[in-house]
Amino acid sequence: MKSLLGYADKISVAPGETIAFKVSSEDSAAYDAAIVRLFNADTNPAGPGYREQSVPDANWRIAGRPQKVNAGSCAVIPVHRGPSALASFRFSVLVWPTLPDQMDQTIASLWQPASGAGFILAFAGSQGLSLRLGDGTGGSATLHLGLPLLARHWYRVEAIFDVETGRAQVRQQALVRYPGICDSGETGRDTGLRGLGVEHAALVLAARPAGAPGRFAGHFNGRLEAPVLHCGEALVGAWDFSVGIGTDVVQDSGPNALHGTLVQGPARGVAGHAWDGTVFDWQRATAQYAAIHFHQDDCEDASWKTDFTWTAPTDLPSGLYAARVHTAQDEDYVPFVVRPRAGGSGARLALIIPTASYLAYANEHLALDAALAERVHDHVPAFGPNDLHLAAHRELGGSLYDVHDDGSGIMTSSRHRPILNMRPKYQSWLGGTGSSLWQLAADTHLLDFLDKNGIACDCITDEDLHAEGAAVLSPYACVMTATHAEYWSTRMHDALLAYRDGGGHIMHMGANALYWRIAFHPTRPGIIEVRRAEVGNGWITPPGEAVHAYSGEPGGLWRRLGRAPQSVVGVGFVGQGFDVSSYYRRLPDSYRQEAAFIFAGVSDEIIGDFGLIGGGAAGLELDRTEPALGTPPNTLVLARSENHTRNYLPTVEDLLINYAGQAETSAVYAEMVYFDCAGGGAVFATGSIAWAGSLSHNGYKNNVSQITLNVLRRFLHANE
Amino acid sequence: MRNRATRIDPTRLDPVREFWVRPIGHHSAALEAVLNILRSGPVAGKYCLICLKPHAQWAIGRISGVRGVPPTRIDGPVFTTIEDAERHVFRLRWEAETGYALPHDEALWSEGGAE
Repeated sequence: MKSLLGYADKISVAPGETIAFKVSSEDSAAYDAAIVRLFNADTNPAGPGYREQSVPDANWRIAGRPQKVNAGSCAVIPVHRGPSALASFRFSVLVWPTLPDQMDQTIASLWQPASGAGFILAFAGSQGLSLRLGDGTGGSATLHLGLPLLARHWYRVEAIFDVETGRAQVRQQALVRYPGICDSGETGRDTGLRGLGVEHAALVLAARPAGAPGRFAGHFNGRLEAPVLHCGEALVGAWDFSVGIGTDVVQDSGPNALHGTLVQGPARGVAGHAWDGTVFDWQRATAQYAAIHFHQDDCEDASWKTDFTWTAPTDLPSGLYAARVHTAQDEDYVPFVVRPRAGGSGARLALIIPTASYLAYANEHLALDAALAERVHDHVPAFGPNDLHLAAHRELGGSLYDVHDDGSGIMTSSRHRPILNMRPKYQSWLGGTGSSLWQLAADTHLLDFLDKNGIACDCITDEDLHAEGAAVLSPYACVMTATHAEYWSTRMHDALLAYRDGGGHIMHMGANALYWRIAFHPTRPGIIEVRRAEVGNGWITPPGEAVHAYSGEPGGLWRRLGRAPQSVVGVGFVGQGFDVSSYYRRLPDSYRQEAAFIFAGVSDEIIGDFGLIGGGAAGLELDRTEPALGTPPNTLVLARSENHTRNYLPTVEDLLINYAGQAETSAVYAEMVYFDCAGGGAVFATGSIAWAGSLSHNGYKNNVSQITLNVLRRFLHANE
Repeated sequence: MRNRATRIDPTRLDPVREFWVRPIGHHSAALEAVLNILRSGPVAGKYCLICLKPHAQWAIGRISGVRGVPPTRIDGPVFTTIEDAERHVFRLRWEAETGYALPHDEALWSEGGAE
């Protein structure tokens, strides 16, 4: 198991800016920390070798301390600002449980753990609802209703306490009834208690306080809606979750304005009890989306304390960097980008580091949780130390491909937590055979290649692109995308198109890019949301929930939203396989005069029958042209991959019906394309994630690197 | 659902020999049919590889199927190629599926299975 884990407050650091690192040293061991620049994150002995470089005057000895992740979402409402002492009370809420048989799930609590004062309304597994009351001086009582609840059904739940009589009641009323199913009823008795003695407590929904400030326990899984608290006859608060969808605030519609705060990012913009199937956008009928879905494994922010900081020197080259922390037993890397100073460093090339796509895959558990993973890549998944640690520590949260403990899809991903697969040296089951790299580590094949060829390159993150738009790309003659830039916000998408149409040159180095729309959290950087509408991947968005809470935009594939990747870069996703890669064969367009510069010095008919990712340049995920989806009519299709294994299967959005032998007849191959744009720029696309893994073959001298360099040199000097 | 006992004919070793030559990559339809069965078990107890040293050493493990419980290594050899580890998992699954042990590696080429 790992003993060192970290993350940072930023993923993009401008020269002169300070980045704060937050590290947990599990056994409190002191550790060494240093800033390094990452050039090649691939440890494969068949390749050129792992390469990092120390940054001067950036190393420390740090006294270690353990830091924990407290997963699980809830809402915290400071009712002490309203009526203080809780005497008689009545609390009601609509409940849609997703794991009703699990013990110790709190629906709502107003509880002081130290004194045992207040109430806790919870599930006790098969005993159904329980209401625990405490007077803070040792007196307590617990009522059990004894009626199991059905999963994914709505109930109105009430807890009542009368201070005059000491009588407490619990009620549960199913909104949908089935003959023979007894899941509505109530119970009550004299508790002997004559007060609850609560002062200065918070009403916590979906959890209860655990003692230490900011710590909660007994998390609820499911949806809550319309909680209302009365104290005696006076309304304390009535919280309307249909207000402020997209924010972390829960609004009190009552006279006391007791607004609360959400912790660990539960899901909003989800169907409530009143959703009737007539609206599919929460903005059009917010009252039908008045629920919040809480999960015991929501993890939006580990909230660790800072252990060391570093200010990027103003003369530091832009690139991919990391804080390396290590002891004799373990090490971890916290990667980040040093972006160029405003206006660019003078380099004519920028590489977009696809940090949003890194977040989408952050702490992915597919091969651990899904039996299908082995069949998807047709070999037995291999797990390293980081995978084993993730498997044991679900509190670190999952990826946008995983599901929560209750089976609902994980719709948001945050970098405010350790991300164990966004690391140099990390091997992924998704990375095929050979180096087995995916995302960040695979993208360093590009950085290594550029550095070895002496080509200056600024690194820009997705977050920079989202925040600043096309202006961040405007200094560059050429912009390169990475191996798998799959997730794009609208602003990122707009920025790339504006750059292209303004005369920019794009080298699209990977595949399955510009695929899913995402939304960034409106106020807090580093958190993204996806709604997997119409087509799933790991899970699919429930009916009526295809609109992002963060942005109000409909979610799904950009192709289904009218902006297919083929219309931007000529090619788009067609299929995938994760065993071995293959090669390209040149097509007649590659011999045309317009393409001569691309193939200068390349006499081979076969391109890329070598490489560190699966042994070929065409592999993992593949893109090809499709005029019906917007491939420009002037596109030159230079080469096409062939001889893929039977594991290469068409993407699900292309399957309008199933039939025997479908895989054999589906056109799953990569196409390498080039086209000029009306704005004076041009686009070159490889159509394959594996392409970058072939660049270093034979001492960086091969037809893949030659083609890449030919295009790059033309693009870099196009407007000179 | 077809009868489990007849899903794989334990006397037909041609697909096995093919797998032994190339565990990962191009597979015939006959081998694919066998692999589709052997690879399709539930996640609980499913074999996996545990990488002990990147690009150098792998052991066989089993996935728990329980969230929060990591895969555990099972008794057995440490492999120095991922292909050898694949062959070992294939052998374990073949025996569990068919009830018959596969011949030793060398004997695979001399015993039975002629079409």
